[in-house]
This record gives sequence, structure tokens and C-alpha cells, in this order.
Amino acid sequence: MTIHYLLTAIKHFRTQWSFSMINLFGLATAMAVCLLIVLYVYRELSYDRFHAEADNIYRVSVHFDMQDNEIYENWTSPPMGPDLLEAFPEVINQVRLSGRQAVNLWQDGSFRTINRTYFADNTFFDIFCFDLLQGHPVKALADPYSLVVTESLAKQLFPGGDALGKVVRLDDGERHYVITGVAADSPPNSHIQFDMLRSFSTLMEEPRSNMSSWGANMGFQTYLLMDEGVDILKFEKKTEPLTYEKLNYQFEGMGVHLTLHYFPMKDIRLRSPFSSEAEEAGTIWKVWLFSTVALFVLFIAGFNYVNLCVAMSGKRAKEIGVRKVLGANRASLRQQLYFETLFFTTLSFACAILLVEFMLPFFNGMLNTNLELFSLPWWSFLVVFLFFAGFFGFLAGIYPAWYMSSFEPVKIMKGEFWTRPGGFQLKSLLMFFQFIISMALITCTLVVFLQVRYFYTKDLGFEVEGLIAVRAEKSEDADLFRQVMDAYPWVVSKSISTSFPIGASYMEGILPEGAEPGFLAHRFWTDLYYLETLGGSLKEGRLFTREDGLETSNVIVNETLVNKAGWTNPLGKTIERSGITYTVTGVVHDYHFRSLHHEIEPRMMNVLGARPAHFTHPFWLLIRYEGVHSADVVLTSQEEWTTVFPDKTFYYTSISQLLDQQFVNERNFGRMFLSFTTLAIVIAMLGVLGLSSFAAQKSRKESAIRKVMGASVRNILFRMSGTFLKWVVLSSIVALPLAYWYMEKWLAGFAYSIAFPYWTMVVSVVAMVMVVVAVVVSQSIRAVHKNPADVLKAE
Amino acid sequence: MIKTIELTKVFRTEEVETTALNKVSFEIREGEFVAIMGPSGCGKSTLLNILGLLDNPTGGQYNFLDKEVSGYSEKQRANLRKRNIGFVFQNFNLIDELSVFENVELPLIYLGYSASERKKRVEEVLEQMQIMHRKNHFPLQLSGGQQQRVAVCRAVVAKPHIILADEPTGNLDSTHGDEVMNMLETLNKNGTTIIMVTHSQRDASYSQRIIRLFDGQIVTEDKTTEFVLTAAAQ
Repeated sequence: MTIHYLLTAIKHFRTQWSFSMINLFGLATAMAVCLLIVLYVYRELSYDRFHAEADNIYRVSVHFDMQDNEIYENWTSPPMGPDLLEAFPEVINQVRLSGRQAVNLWQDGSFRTINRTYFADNTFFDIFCFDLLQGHPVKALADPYSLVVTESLAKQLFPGGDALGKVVRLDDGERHYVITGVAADSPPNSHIQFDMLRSFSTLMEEPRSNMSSWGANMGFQTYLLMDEGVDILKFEKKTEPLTYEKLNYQFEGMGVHLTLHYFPMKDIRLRSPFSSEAEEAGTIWKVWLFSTVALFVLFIAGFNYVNLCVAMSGKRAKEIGVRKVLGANRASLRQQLYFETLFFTTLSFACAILLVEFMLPFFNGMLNTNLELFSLPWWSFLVVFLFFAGFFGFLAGIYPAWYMSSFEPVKIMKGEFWTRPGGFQLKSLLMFFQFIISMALITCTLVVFLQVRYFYTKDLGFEVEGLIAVRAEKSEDADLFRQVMDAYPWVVSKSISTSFPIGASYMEGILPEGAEPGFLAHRFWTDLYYLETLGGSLKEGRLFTREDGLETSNVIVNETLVNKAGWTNPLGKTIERSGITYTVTGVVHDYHFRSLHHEIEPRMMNVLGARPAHFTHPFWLLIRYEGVHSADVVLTSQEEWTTVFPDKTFYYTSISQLLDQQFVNERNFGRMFLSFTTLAIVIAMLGVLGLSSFAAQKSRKESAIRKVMGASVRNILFRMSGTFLKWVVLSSIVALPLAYWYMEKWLAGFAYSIAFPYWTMVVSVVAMVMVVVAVVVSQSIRAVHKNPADVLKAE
Repeated sequence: MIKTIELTKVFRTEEVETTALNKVSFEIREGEFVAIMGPSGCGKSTLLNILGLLDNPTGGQYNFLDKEVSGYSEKQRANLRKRNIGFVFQNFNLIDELSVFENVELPLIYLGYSASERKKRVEEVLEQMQIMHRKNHFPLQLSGGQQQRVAVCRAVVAKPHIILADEPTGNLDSTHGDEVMNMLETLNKNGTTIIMVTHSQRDASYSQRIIRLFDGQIVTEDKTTEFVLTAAAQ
């Protein structure tokens, strides 16, 4: 019987070639889109789950509450981890990681930049399940100046040789490190991605800044391995006295309070609220959005299948009737029809696999991922197969099987098949849903696209193009290099500051006049030319002048700081910090110094000479150039730098390139979303194509009679399109509010977003109407143009 | 073998009620060849559908193989039908996508025969009906007469007790029509009961008895010889 079913299915596939291909293409494309999304979602959900203790690892985060201002960040100070480990038995172990750094590794007189390096405690391989291929898991990172490299890096550094025990020079070639371990490359689904780990004890050996105070040097990430079953909220409460003892007592009466929180490591990828993750994080909304699209695409393809099967059932009525006459009962017919659907979905799944293999490189390129189809474990692949080919096939097959098996042979023999109304009602209903999904998707796609475009075209408040920043460890180096660059006529202006123009900067608690208890502000130190070089603009007051002197207490603030302090006349107002009173002499217009995911925060500038003595941050020489290609600027700067500082690394950043990198994820996401929704709409239109072609065939007689009665071709086409357009209009009543509600929620998640563009709703309806009319007319025109005499004779 | 008592079939729509069969009673014995005749719309096909267990009556009794089947469910009817009844239609009703062999094989699939048994039975009957050379052809590649021959093969392959034929020669020329009627006659001589709906007096002459219907009622039940003589006298 199974072979008979299979042969029948193949024969039907061949005899109804065009409908079969529409169905196959629709289902295979939908499954391919869903498979890609499954791969993406699976990867996202599997993040950091490969650690054996994934459920018990928490990352410490700090919450500064300053009444009307709060900061929630994942940066901690060096002693927090060891102190927590010592004080609480619930903490089994701890590991600290420095912020991710790029360092130069010197080898045979030249250097290469290693981008992903961390300082890590020797408990790193004990707590995390990164494979250490060579070396001792605990001893590898125990001694100062010891180093663990990944297998890939080891192969690059010592091709064909053994890296273990080798000595390499890092930084400016001044420090020698011994390679004490070789680790496997970090899995792609880890939020910690490293090429090299240096022992944390190295930092203690030559501390650049305070390594023992809870309130200083908050540049480290601390992970705790907790005991099984610890209630983390209770633990948070339990650590409050220690926080008070170590830090909060200093803030007493100032309205400032620090709380430690413990963020589950397995949630970092999807739910991290922190802006300073080394890898992209907080992607749960993408997972939801893509999953929604996947579901919609699958619905559309499923509806198409059901609709086309029901539409085609007329052609199979005779077969069903004959089978029934010959003894087939409803159950055996349903079995046969289910089998056909499963045959179809299995075939589609096989095609989808090929499509996925073809589409994966584009998908990976767009989402900056490296997904592989067969990276799924066999059992999840089986689940996916059973879902698509089995469960989905079963769902899609229910109605056609039930509908067709209910044909009454007597009626079929009498030619009364077409009087059945049920199939047509369902077809309309499914088409209604398809149009809802399609129009909602068109509206959502337009909004996503506009928001993404807004992201990378928004005026950031300064001139992005023609600006590079060169890093110098010492202010004297920066000053010397500035003088060297004076020789080039294309250098328009230069400025030395302690702040890289884009990204988070140093923050301090300040007390502006009349704004007690104060708030946190980004603070940096600069020379007289910063604003001019950056291309920002002064709102009121004045910039620094030579007359201010090197150690002036004058400050320049941004608009946000003024607003936050509640000042109406900011000039002359004072700001207190660490016992020093500063006077506001200028206000600059706000500019975005972090990505548009973040709101602009208060910012204040002091003159370079007034920076604290313990200041250890690098300096940045901003160079604005004009009339020359950026590559030439970089090349010339590098040549000059190497001449002046032959032993020091030239490290530069092009501001426009950096911003471009920041937006590349958003832009690619927008493109991906656009591609998926386009596919969804194409699949939906394939359904309309099939249905309209079927409707054209079915109404040949009606059209012929109408023509005989005097109807024009246009009248008939209008009438046929009207049947579909009626559903477009009805669907828009549901689709548009739905899209509006979803997109309003989505836009609310951005610090800066566009207002919901209502015109997108009109565009989606018009686009849908145009596509539907085009499809219906293209399918009907041939049938309508036939000679009515021929049609009526044939009927 | 078949006995109907006041068999009634009423078709109802929201506004109209049509009585297709009105208290029809008759009996058909095993091995008989009976023709049902009457003008269009008299209820011939409705009666044949009920006799063939494709439809249920709305009233009266239908005794099939000594079982009262008028209240049978679709499943019960299908079960009884596939084991006992073969059908031959005016428009052949072969499945275009299946080959001659596969069309003839179809009833045996639903009866659960093994593939080897099916092959044996189908080839046997195709040989018998002299259509073996066309077994791999599709219906649309055959002439009308050949298609009807295939339909007869399909009707007899499961060795049913009864063959119901609905205008079996309606779509055929006289030569092919005679050929089909001779096949039915041979089957009847070999013991198969045949009930045939026809408009053709020539076809009816092959039967042993004619049931004549008018407006859903039996008006006469003649022996074929009497009918032929009467027709000749007129």
C-alpha cells in the first residue's frame, strides 16, 4: 500500500507539475528560511551553555544608585571577587578578567597585533570549560608573565613547532612572557572570545593603578562559581553588609549607594543590559523578531499548501470518487492524502537543506556569524526534520485530507462537485490570514529599515568624516607627534585629549551647583583645540583659551549636563568634585559620543594640565584632515610615527570606519529582515498566483457567458481582481494596527528612534494591491481572452 | 441476492423536495442479468447508486446478500462494496494518472492482496479480456472501446458477485458497444449477476429481465423476450 501511495504521489507531482512546483518552491523556501532562523536561534540559545557549571556561574555587576541617576554596569574592581570568595561560603570560586585589549606581540623584529587578549586569574580553566590542550589548568596562569594562547594563534606564531615554553615579547616589546598553555579556540557560542590570556598575577606584579580598593579601577569582570541551589537574590542581600564595609560607608549622606548584583552567565548573550560587552549582547529581541518571521513564513507556506491542494481537489475529484467506488473508505483515503503531504514536505525539506547550504554564506555574512547546517546535534536535526516534514506536514495535510476524503462519489459522478462551498470558505480565510501577515510584514520591514537607516545617517553632532585618532601612552609622545604632523598642509587641526571620541569614557560623581546630591558625568581632559578638531559646536560661553592657564578650574559642559543640573543660566555655575570647585565657562551642543543605543549622558571637559596626578589612561591625538585620501593619511602618519618612535606601536582609529563597524550589525540585520520578509511575501504571492490561476480556469465558463452578454475584458478582469482585493482591504484592518502595535514596542527599545511612520501603512496596502492585481491579471488574461464560443462548446 | 421493499430516496434542499425513488420493491436473484430502463430523470442512476452501496435510501428496506444494509455507515458500505460489487460506468472513470495495469489493480489494493497476487490476478484478467498488450498504457492513450474494456477488467478483477453497469455502451460506437455487451454476457454466463442501467433497447436485449422506471416508480417488470416481441410487434 505504501508503495502504491508513493507512486501515486509521484504521479500527481508530475501530472500537476506547475502547481506542484509552486508548492514545492514555497514550502522549500519557507523551510529554508526557518532552518536558517533555527540555526541562528539555536546558536543564540546555546551561548555559554557548554560550561559544565553554566547554571552556577554569575558575573558580578555594580549598581550605582544616585537618587535621580543610576548606573548599572558589569565592571568591577580587582578586590571584589577575592573578597566575596573569602567572605561567603556560597562562593566556590572566582575568576577575574580584564577588559579586552589589543596588544602587539613582537617576534623576529616585527610585531603583530593580537586583538582579543585578557588578563585572567589562574582559576579561568577551572571555572570555565574552555579546553586547555597543553599546560596545567591551574598552573598555566599562575605565575606572573605567563601566557596561554589559542591553538590557532600558536600555529601562526610557531608553524610546525611547539608553542609551549616559548618566550614572546608583548606590548612595546618591553615585557617577556612565557607560553605556559595552549587552549582550543574559544567556541563561537561563547561570550568570552580570546586569542591570548595573560596571568592576572602580572597585573599585581606591576600595578598601574589601585588594585586593592573597591571603589577604584573598575575595569574588570568578575565571575563567581556559586554553590548548587544558592538563591541568588538572597545572596545579593547577604552581600550588602560587605559592600557597606568596603565602599558604601564612604558615600554616607551623599545619596550614593552601590549594590552588587549577580547576573547569570548563561543570560549574558541574550539578556545583558550592559552596554560595554566585548561581544554583541542583548540579542533576545532579534531572536524573537526572527522567530516571529520564521513562524509567519511557515504559516504562509502552510496556508499556500492547503489552499492549492483544496483548489486542485477539483481535478482529483474523479480519482477520489473512483477510489471510493472501488472500495476505499475515508480512512484509507485520508491515509493516502496524508502520505502525499508527508511526501511533499519531505521532498521540500530535502530541497530546503540544499537551499540552506546555498544561502548560509550570505546569511553568515549578513549576521556576522559562522553557522553551519550540520553543526546541530543529530537529535536536534531529527527534531527539526520531524517538525518540518512530519508535524508541519501533518498540520498542512489535515484539511486537504479531510476535505477530499469527504467527497461523495455519487455527487462526483453527477458532476456536482463544484457546488461544495466548504473549501472555498476556508481558502478565503487562509488567504485573509496570508494578507494580514504579508501586510504586517511589509509595514514592519519598512519601519525596521527606516530605523536602521536613521541609525547610520543621524547627525551625531560632530563631523565624522576626515578624522583619525592616534594613541600615545604618554602626553609628551602625543605632543611631539602633534608637532611632527604640523608639517603637513592637509592637517586642518589637531587636539590632544584623554578621551577617545567614540565610546564610553571615564566617569566621576560630580556635584553641580544646586543639584544635590549630584550625579555621574563623563569627564575628560583636553587642550584648546578639541571642539574645533572634533567639528562640534559651542552653544554658549567660550572655549578654553591660553589665558585660562594649564591648571585652570574652568570647565566646559554639554547640554545634557546643564539640563540634568536644572540650570537655566549655566555660565558661571560651579561643579564640585574631590574638594575642587570648577566654574562653567562654556556649554557645547550635545553630540553622540557613544552609539545610538545609548542616550547622551552628562559630560564635562577640563584642560589637559589639570588632570589628576594618578591619571594612567592613554592619550589620543585627534587629527582632522582635508583634501587627501584617508589611506594616505594613515600611511603618512604611520611612517612618521615609526620614524619618531621606532620601538612604539602605531595604533590609530578612523572615526568614520569605527562608526561604520558599530552600525554594520544593525545594517546587516536590516538587510536580513528585508530578505526574509521579501521571501515571505513572494511565497504568499505564489499562493495568490496558484489560486488566481485556479480561479481563472474555474470561471472560464462564467467569463465566456459574461462576454457573450456584453462584458468587456476589463470588466471581467476587474471582477476577478475584486475577489482578491476584497480580502486585501479586510486584512489591512487587522494587519495595520497589529504592525503598529508591534513596531511601537520595538522602537521603544531604542534610546533614539524614529517616530512611527504612518505612511508605511499606506505603502503596504498599495504595494499589496498592486502585487495582487498584477498576479491575478497575469493569470486570468489568457483565459479571459479566449473565444467564448470555444469555451462554451468545450464546457 | 438483492431485495428492495418500498425503497425510497428523497433529495431535499432548503426549498425543494424531490422524490427520486418512490417505494420501489423488487428482487434480483443470483446469476440474473437485469436491465433498468426509463426516461432521463426517472431515478435509474439513483437506484443503481443505492444498489451499489454508494448511497443510502431515505426510506424502505434494502436487503443485500441477506443483510439489511439501508442503515449502513459509509465505512460498512465501503467494506461490503469492495468485496462484492464491480462497477462499469458510461464514461469509464479510469484514473488518468494510472496505467492500465494500475487501474485494474486498484480494487485488489483496497482488498489487501499482496503485490504478487495482484500481478497474477490483473494479468489473468487482462489476458482474458485481450488487453494485455496495453497494460503499460495510460487511459488517454486508448480508444473508448479499449478504455471500457479496461473498466470491465477492473470491475471483475476482484471476482465480485454483482456487476453494476451504468450505460456501459453510452460512449461507444455500436461495434465496441457490442463487444462490451458480449463481455458482460459472458461474465453473466459464468455466474456473475449483472444489473445494467441503459437507454438502449439493443443493450437491454442482452438481459433476462427489464425493470422499467417512470417518475421514481416501477411501471413494468418484463422478461426480455416479451419486451423484444412487444417492441417488434409495435
